[in-house]
Amino acid sequence: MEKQIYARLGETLYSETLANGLQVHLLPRKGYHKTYAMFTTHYGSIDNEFVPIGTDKPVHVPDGIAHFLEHKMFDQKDHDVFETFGKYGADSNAFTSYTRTSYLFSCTDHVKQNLETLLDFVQEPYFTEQSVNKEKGIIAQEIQMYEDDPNWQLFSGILANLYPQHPVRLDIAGTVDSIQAITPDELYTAYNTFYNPSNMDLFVTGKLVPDEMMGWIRANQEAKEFPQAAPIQRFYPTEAEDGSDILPYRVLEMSVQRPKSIVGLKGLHRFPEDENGLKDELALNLLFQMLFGSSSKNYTRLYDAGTIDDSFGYEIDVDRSFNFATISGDANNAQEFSDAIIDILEHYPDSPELTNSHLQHVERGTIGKYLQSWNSLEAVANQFTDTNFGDANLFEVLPILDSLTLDDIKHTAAHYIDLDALSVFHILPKDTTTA
Amino acid sequence: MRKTLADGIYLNLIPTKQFKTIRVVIRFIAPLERATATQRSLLASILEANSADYPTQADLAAKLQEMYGASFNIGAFKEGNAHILSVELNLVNDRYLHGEPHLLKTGIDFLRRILFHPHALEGAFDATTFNRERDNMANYLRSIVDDKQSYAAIQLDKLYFDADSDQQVTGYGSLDDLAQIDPASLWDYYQHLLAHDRIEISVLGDIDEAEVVPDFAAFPLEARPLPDVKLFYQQPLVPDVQEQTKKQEIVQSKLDLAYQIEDYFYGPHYYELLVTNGMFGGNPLSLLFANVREKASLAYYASSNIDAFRGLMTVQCGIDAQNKEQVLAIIKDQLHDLQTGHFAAALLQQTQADLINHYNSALDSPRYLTSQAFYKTLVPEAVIDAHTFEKGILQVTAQQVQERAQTIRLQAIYFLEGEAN
Repeated sequence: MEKQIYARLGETLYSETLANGLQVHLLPRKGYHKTYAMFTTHYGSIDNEFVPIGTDKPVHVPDGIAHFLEHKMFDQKDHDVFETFGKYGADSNAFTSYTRTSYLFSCTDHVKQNLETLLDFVQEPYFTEQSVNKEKGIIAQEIQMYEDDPNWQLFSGILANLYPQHPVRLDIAGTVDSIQAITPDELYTAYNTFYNPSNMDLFVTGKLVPDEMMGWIRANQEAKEFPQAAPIQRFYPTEAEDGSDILPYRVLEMSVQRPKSIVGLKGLHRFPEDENGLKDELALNLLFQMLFGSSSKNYTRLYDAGTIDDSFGYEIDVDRSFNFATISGDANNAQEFSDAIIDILEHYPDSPELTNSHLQHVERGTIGKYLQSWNSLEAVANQFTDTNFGDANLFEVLPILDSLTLDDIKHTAAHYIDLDALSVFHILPKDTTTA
Repeated sequence: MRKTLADGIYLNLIPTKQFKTIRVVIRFIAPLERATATQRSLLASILEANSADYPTQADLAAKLQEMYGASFNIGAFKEGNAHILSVELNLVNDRYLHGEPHLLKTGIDFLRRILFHPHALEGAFDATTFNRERDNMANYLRSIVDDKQSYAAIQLDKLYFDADSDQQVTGYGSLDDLAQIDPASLWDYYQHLLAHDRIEISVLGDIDEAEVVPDFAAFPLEARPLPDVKLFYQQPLVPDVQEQTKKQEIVQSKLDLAYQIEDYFYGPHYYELLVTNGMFGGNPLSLLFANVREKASLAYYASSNIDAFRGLMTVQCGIDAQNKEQVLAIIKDQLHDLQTGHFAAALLQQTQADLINHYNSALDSPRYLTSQAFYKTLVPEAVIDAHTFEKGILQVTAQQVQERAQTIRLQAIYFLEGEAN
């Protein structure tokens, strides 16, 4: 077990890669009452074409199968997992993203039993025709719930514009139609390929004793056998390298009260999967804060003019096989909103916002927000698991923030920001009587 | 530790080294009234937007960045018959920062400037700020209908609460009332609020009493009598269940139910109520989740909640329109099973463990800890601590659950029905 001390944060991280390939990280937190564990496979909604373990031919599986699998894991042969967790007073849950599926629990008592329950249920699939069919109704309701959510529609809309080929354009849960085709056999194929310990990691934080907990985990894993794993081969459709396949604009009419506008910027270059990747991501975040953050003159100007309001926001997503940025919000005039954002993006290299003193301000703010996020065990577990830059993990953020200069940021921006990779999506109110 | 700064103005200090932050919350408490809820809600937006010292949003944002990304917000909400304007500031503990920034002192000074030097002139709020925040609030109020779960919940409130009750308004007010407010009348109301509201300040974190108390004591506030807030709302039972259906062009229909309950926050049967609600629809093991979702596959979410300040329990689920009667029947059956004692002992035990876990987990949240301290000040007779809570929950018997379930009365059903476009 490796021990790494981060003096500035006052935290110590314990790590070990087990014989079966599972990566384990333990982060004890003084004074906390709760233990929070997250067991993750690097398998998400975009992994719909791959070579199944033990075979040599790629298969294409129905959209939404990773999420479906997540739901079905909770049904075990002779019991329901929620009940086992319930017996030991733990909260349990799971979620699926584009690139991963995480299973989690939190508890304040019986931590050993709960930890073993987590490891055991995720490592013991049980799918039958009957239980698979029963789940289709529940997931159909989940999909339909999102269909009525205009913000979700806005985000889906811009992704479909930016990625006419890549499966990130698809709803993580699939569609009501696509999930009908899912069978137990396909679930087993996906499970066996992606739930091998060598494709998984476990992060536990909060109240815990590292030696004791690592002992429980080792013992649990050593008692199980897993097939020998080869590197997983995943396939994604070819995209235009210059972004020429991007759909520049679409509009959706929906029964909403106010128009919504989103501008998307597709990253045409991959981020390095090491410290440089983390540095680049942080640099882009600082750039966006300087251009669009609430301390920018742009924000004040657009807010005062009524072009944007409190719903305004932006996000940068850097993930396995894709990266993009979006800037969105409600607007009285969706066109005026997206024109204003594009204007800022087009002229950003000469923007008066990009000064050393503004950078110092946003760096300071970002350091503070980062430290505040440390209060939440969930946020730390999630951010740690979400950072795919090799050894450069969540703990490395402060020194990188300290070191970034305005030149670094301009240099990074020039590499990633390509104005040919822009797209706009609007949602406009449909004439209805529902108001 | 609680200190009286002046009559009606209190400071609650919660020292702990658990967190990397210090949290400051200032709450202004007044009786909930239809006429003032909207004013208070608009005040929250205006005070949060800028001030005399930070006249633009960029100035204010720069100040927050200077304070190491302090998170600052002002919100308005209701609790029972109280309306609360809540000012929150979260700061990083100095020990994690270079140098000695004295963030808490700076933060308290910042709050003083925000509250006592707003962007105003000659007895009126700055007109530009006022107009913009009023328009934003109007847009927000109009767009609530786009969030179907919230919209259905608000409509259920309107259906359930007496037509003349102040509970008819949401905590953030109404469009009709918004149109009546101007920069001068809002300024006058703000002066009234500063002079008459009960004020509860909480500070949580690695703090030193001797440093904190004088800074808050120096706030320009006068002693005041405690406003007459009868926290718990009650209304008579209606003999017939009130039903309302509204059609909208949506994919998923929303079914929301309101039940009257007899028990209130930390009242005589509070623990029994918590357990009963937990078993009914409070968690993924509950009867509603197990039967509406897991067994019948009719919903993705199906749950119940209690509002222990308003004597109300609600049930909410998202379903296909054609399944409404079937879902209603299942919900009724589950309550009936609780009322007649047809439930597994394991469900009772698991629900108790779940409630205790939730209580203890919340002790890791600064937000929860400050709000717990606040509720203790509102309901001083309540004994709120981990040990008492655990004991209280574990003492609840199956017989008591059955009795509590019998006091739960269905009063209203709101159905937001999806129709094909």
